[in-house]
Amino acid sequence: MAKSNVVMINGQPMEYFSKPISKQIWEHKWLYVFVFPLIIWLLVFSYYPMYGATLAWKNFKYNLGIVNSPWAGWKWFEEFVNSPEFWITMGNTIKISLLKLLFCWPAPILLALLLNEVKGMKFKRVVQTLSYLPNFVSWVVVIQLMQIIFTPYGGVINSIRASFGLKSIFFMGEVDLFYPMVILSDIWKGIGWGSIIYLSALSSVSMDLYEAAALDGAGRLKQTWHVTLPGIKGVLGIQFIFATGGILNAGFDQLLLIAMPSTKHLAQILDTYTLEKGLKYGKFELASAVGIFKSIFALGLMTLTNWISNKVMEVGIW
Amino acid sequence: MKTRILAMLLALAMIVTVFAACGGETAGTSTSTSTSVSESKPADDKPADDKPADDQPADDFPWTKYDDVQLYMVRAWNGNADADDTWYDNDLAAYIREKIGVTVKNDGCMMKETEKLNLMFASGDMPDIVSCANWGGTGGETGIIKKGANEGTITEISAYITGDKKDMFQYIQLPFEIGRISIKYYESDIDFNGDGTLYWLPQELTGEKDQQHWAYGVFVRGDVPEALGFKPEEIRTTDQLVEVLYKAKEYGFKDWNGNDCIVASTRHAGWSYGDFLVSYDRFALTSYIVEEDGSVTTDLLSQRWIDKNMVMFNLVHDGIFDVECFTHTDDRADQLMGNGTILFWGAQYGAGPSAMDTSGLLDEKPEWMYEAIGPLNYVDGKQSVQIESEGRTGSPVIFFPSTTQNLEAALTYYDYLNSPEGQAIYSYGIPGVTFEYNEEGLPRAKAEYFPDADDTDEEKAAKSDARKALGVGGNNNNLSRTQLINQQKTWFKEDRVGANLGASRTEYDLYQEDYVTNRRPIEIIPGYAASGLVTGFERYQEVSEILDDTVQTDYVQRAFFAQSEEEALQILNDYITKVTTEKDGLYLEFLDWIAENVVGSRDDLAW
Repeated sequence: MAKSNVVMINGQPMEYFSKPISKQIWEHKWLYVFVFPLIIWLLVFSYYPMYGATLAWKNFKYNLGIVNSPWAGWKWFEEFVNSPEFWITMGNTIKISLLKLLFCWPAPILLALLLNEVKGMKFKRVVQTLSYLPNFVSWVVVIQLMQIIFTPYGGVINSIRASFGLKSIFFMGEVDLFYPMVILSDIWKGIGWGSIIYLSALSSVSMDLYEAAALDGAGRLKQTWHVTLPGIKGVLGIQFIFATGGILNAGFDQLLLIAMPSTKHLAQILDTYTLEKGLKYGKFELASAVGIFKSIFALGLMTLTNWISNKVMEVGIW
Repeated sequence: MKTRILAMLLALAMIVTVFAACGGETAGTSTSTSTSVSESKPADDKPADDKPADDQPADDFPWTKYDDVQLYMVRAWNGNADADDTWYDNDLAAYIREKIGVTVKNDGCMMKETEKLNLMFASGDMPDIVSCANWGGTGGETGIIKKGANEGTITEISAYITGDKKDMFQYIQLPFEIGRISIKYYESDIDFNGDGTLYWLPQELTGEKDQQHWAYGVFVRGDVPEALGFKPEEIRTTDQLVEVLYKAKEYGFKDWNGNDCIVASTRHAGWSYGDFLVSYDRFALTSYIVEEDGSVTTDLLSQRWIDKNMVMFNLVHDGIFDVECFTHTDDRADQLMGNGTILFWGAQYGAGPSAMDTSGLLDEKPEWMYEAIGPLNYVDGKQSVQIESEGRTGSPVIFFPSTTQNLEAALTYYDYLNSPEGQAIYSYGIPGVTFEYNEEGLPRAKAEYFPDADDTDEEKAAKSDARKALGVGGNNNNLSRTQLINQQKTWFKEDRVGANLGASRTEYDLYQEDYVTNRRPIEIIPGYAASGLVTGFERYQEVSEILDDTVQTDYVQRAFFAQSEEEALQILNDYITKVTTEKDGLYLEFLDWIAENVVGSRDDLAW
């Protein structure tokens, strides 16, 4: 067969790109029809509300609305940064987010790798299904369940402790147990659902590579290290970038509900602060300023992680 | 081709879904007519002109009849249930409609009151009528509705409440004249601009004789005093109470199920642990203390405040006080009280026996019914009472957002329901159906709809269902929060109809009545509450934020759970330092200002 001399770019012959844009669009009209609703969605739900972000630089008056309210300069940003809660809130947010990044982010990868090794398909399916279920339970219910299980007044765990002659512990209110409770409940809730994307990525790793590795004498662990993980490197990188981008989303509903009087000072994060100031006090401007601060911080972090990921793992979202 | 058609259909479905999500929510729908409940309008629209119906009532009926006006009301009270589906289609609503042509969909809310109000004002998505709290000052609900009024989201009603057919100013004037509205409340929180402009109608303005007894106190499971050898009425100080709490812990009481008891607890979110600590409180109307040299300090800055909170630290630390009660719900408290698990608790009396009654515990162990401790004495040895000022210093209010579709119709609705005829309807239902007027013109309930003392539970339930079917009383919320002066309801056991008839009075109703009448009565501190003047401080709003109750609660409750006494003291002192140093010591500046500008400014000041 004669070798083609046509130069291809992104699967299209080079001449294709010399066509007018309207012709290019017409050729792929059905794809554009599919994309159209998403563009509308993006404009309506993501770009249109952005004018509300100007609230962060306004003195909001009910009767004037966002657009007509007078400008306030950087007043609300200054109030936030100078407030006694700033460092506490930022510290808590970053601490909890880093802990989640350290423990909750790898947990689904670990589960996916373990499930990938399971040979009994029935058992694998049952475990997978069971691990997905907590994702569909709201944090309200999860925290209620935790309170029932861990209550010092007849809870299962403390009853077991009592049967061994041990003192009952107020698990939900112990300052020392706050972070373990937050991390473990987050892992319990998200590990199964989070593993889906990794299982999907794992299924695309060629079996030939495993066979070749086995012929070279690689055991299970070595196969995982040298075949599986490099095989899903792309997904790992993308997920990590997204995770760091959301580093200031420490888990609003979880922390709002799990906080006890003894641990509330540890659970105050940016999102709970925004809720408190924005809705309770009607300081929507301050809440918006905190939101913008959070977004800019997250964008910066995500850009940095993307750069590092591009350098180290050769994976990036741009 | 098939693929293209499928693609087109899928794409269309996606587009439709996107636009469907953009659709606005209707305020409510009527199941019986094509007219929908009024929607919000732009804030700059003035209320629509009234649209009287063609069939106007006789001249002796003092209200205009409208042509089927449907309005939407929100009760901004956390935990209020939404209107039932039959809000339009029930006999009571039809009767009122026949009279004045107005029907109101009366919805509740399930979020914090302040958040609900802020959301409504900020979004402009407001109903026609709102009921909310106006407890006074510049913070909380009062701060928000004052802001709303001054920024044009609440209709100024001064010009609308008097007219040819109505005199609704009487609902403010009358209670003010007879002292149900204190001068402070009127000047600070009703005519708060001082120029006669009015934005809301105050509600539930009880006077001295029918002042609501809240029945606060500490209550103990009935069998405990005998087992521990003390008389509840002889416990008069927090120290004595604490002593018996420790004895109860050692005794090892069991609940109905045979499980260990919780020695001391509260109802939702720690409400109200303060009842255990009354001996650290003063008999006073405000927290300000005027010293002999004329300077002003507060309870917060006294050693008493530290000592008081350290008592609670010790109780929590030693496993006496329920560690979960600071976050638990009323349902959880009911469950614990219903099983007799809680031995001592502080809040309003009715809830405990009611929970025991509901669970059936009282049938099996009537001797466990909760009894009142003390009441405890104040720090100066005076027996604690329910402190009240002369006239109310705050109350629920009704206001009409600027988006109200038909202000005249809304006002007519309230005017009618607060007339003698309307009050009878509110209390007893439909004239000629659920009640009749006797020869003296007094309403008399019909036995087939209202409980009698001899009725069995099944009969009571059947009558309650019969009333509900007509839209009368019970859990039906259609007329709740409509009364301005009338206060015909009881607290907790809100079967107002039965209560009005004096039927179904249980043993614990009588016990509560004796408690609030003879043991912990209301006592009025006469004079003008100084807290009404301190708001004159130029930066009072900032002071309010420094003293934010949520922040104080966070610090204080964290101190309760401290690992050691030193840590607890440190947290409490940190809070005091925070309050006194924030914004360059604004709080202390504020106290100095009070000393200079409020102390001695009036002869009748009450502190």
